[in-house]
Amino acid sequence: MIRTWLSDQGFLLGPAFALVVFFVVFIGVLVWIYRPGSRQVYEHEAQLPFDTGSQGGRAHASTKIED
Amino acid sequence: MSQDTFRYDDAIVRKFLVATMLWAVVGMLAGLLIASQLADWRMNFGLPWLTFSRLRPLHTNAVIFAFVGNCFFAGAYYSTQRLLKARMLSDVLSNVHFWGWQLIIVSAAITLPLGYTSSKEYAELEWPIDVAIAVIWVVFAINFFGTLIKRRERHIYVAIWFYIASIITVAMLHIVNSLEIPVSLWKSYSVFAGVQDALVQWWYGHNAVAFFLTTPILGLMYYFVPKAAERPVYSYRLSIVHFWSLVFLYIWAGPHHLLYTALPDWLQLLGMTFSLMLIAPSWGGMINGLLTLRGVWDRVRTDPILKFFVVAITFYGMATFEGPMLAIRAVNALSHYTDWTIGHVHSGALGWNGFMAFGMIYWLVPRLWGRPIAWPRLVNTHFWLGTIGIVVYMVSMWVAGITQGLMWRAFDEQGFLVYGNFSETVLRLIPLYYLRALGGLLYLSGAVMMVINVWVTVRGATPVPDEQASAPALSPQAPASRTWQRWLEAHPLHFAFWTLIAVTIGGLVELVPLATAKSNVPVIATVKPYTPLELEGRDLYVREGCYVCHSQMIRPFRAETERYGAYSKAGEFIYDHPFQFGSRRIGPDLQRIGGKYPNIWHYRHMEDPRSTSPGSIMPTYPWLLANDLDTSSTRAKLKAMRLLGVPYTPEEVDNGVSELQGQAKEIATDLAGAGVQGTEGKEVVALIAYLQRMGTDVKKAPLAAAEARR
Repeated sequence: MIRTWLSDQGFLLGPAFALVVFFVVFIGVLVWIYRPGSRQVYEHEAQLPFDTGSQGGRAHASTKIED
Repeated sequence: MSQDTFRYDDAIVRKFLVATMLWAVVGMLAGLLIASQLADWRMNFGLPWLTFSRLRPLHTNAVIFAFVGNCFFAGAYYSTQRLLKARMLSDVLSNVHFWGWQLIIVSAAITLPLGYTSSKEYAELEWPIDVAIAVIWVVFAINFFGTLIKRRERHIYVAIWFYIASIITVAMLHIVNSLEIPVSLWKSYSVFAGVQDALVQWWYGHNAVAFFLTTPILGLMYYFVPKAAERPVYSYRLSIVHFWSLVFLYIWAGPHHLLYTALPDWLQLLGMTFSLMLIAPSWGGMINGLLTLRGVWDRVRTDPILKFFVVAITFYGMATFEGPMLAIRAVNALSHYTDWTIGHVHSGALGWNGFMAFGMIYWLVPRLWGRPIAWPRLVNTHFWLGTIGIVVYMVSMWVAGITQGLMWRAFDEQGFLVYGNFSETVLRLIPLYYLRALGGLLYLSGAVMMVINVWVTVRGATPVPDEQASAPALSPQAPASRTWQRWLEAHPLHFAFWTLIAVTIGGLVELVPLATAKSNVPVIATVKPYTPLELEGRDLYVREGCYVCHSQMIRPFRAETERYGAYSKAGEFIYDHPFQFGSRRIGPDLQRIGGKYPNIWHYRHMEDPRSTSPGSIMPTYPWLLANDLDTSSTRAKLKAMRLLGVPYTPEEVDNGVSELQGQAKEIATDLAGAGVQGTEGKEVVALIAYLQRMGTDVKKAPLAAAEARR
């Protein structure tokens, strides 16, 4: 039944409909992410690589490779 | 709140890091050898297990899954623990993952040169190894998600999102693309056939690039670039858009590997459209990576680690611009099957993956072994050798690709092909193949320098004890989140679920209609299943990796139909488990080779390609003339095909071997008439039977075909 139904569809509106949905969702996400004041919300997450909970160890400062 | 004290497992990171360097050299050495074989066919040495068509899959597998795979695991184990403030769930699982993965790589290194292959690009390994990959991947997933559950940091950083997407999607891709019916311990048939198999394969193949070579390395970028630059990522908000749009869009782009083939048009259009849209998130990621260095650009002059990262991200940007351009049908018409694609792939692999790996290795080694890099100046030399090597490689492949693409389509004033002899278009490339090998040699030299430098650095060193850390335990009650993204970040299993949804949609929309709608693969009445001898010959074609150099897909262009014959139709491949479309034409397309030459031509061609095609760069295949054809599994093969829907009758399955012998005798008699005796039970006869059948069904009148079948 599914095979027959799929074979019979022209899918004329499908691509246009999908395009509109995807585009609207994308723009919606973009507007939401960049809403005013949102930068501060993510400040903590952006700093996570620098907060390892390390209690010290060897070598961190001396491992830069400089010419 | 109580403060937990714990140690990160750095021993596992060291193991993966050493494996990364080892397999980098092995994979690149294999690449250099096969590049030399293209420049001079004698580099094949007449040995089956050293032949280009068997080694090329070894090279790609070694670089992708061994080099980049181990690099991903090393970086992921290091960063995941620190980002989640937790030791990995289980040291045992970490070690099972490490040793299991190395065992898989060694299995690949043994089986591929021996000719055990499924012929699906980047998924050539046979079913027992496929099962092992699935098991080890699940072990990794349990260890990773278990660590997420016991973490001490509420929010999961962007690098972890990319790891999550990679783990989930690779599992999905691998399982679906590896669905196959085993015939014997080292032989299986894909459950998909023809264009459906091709779509599944390139859904996998393209997304192996996406979710094994891109998203894991983006995760590493989001961790190691800020660490090396000592400043946070440029825009965390951009990383959110980058992640979700990338994982959603990537999965749709697979069909761009099949433009102008027999794949339905709507799928080709989808593949092209989504490939073009991919530029946006890809460049979002590139910009985010590069701008992380804002304020420290002066350090790029003096710090080779930052140099590696900057060039890697730049190559990511270039490759993700070039990729969508190559996915435009008009461009693809020229570039497909040529070295342009090879150049594109290597700009990503050598530039993006390789340089990210090198930067990460140089950053990690001092921290894991507690010693500064022994020879800092050599790191700089490595950087420049690698950069020059990539440029030489890419430029030579661009020139080779465009040259050959234009030569294939050149017509003279009378309307004839200017380069009617395919060999002419290959011989023109030989100087460029030498140049490519030089580029590879430079790049490999840099990698060897790195290995020596690291060896000298860590020799005699006591590895740094597992780093001790402390953090408060995670409270069981998550605080209310102000945004959906923050909520998701605090609930990693929900995050994983929505990632799975994002990566599944594209696959479902493309795969389900193709598999179910009859109109996508029109039936051609004259197309019939292969005879048992042809089937055995086809398996030899797969074993020798003929698809590595020869396509079986004539595109609907005048230049192709003039050269090869009628263009390929989807209905011609319905019994092809697996499909053999190929992706590169180092030799001509073989779709209509059937009946074009006498049997003796094929025999001589396998014995010495230059005797029939002067100037050919194809290796010799003397073992096909000497080896006896193994028919011990012929019945099992026919049975497996029947199970897959190929319309063999039970009698045909039972009488398969005697039918095979009858057809072999006919071909051997014909060869004897041409002066070659004693070929009846040899492999070459089966291969000739297959080659003579190829593309001939559509030339038969329906009635004649029915008669022949009877």
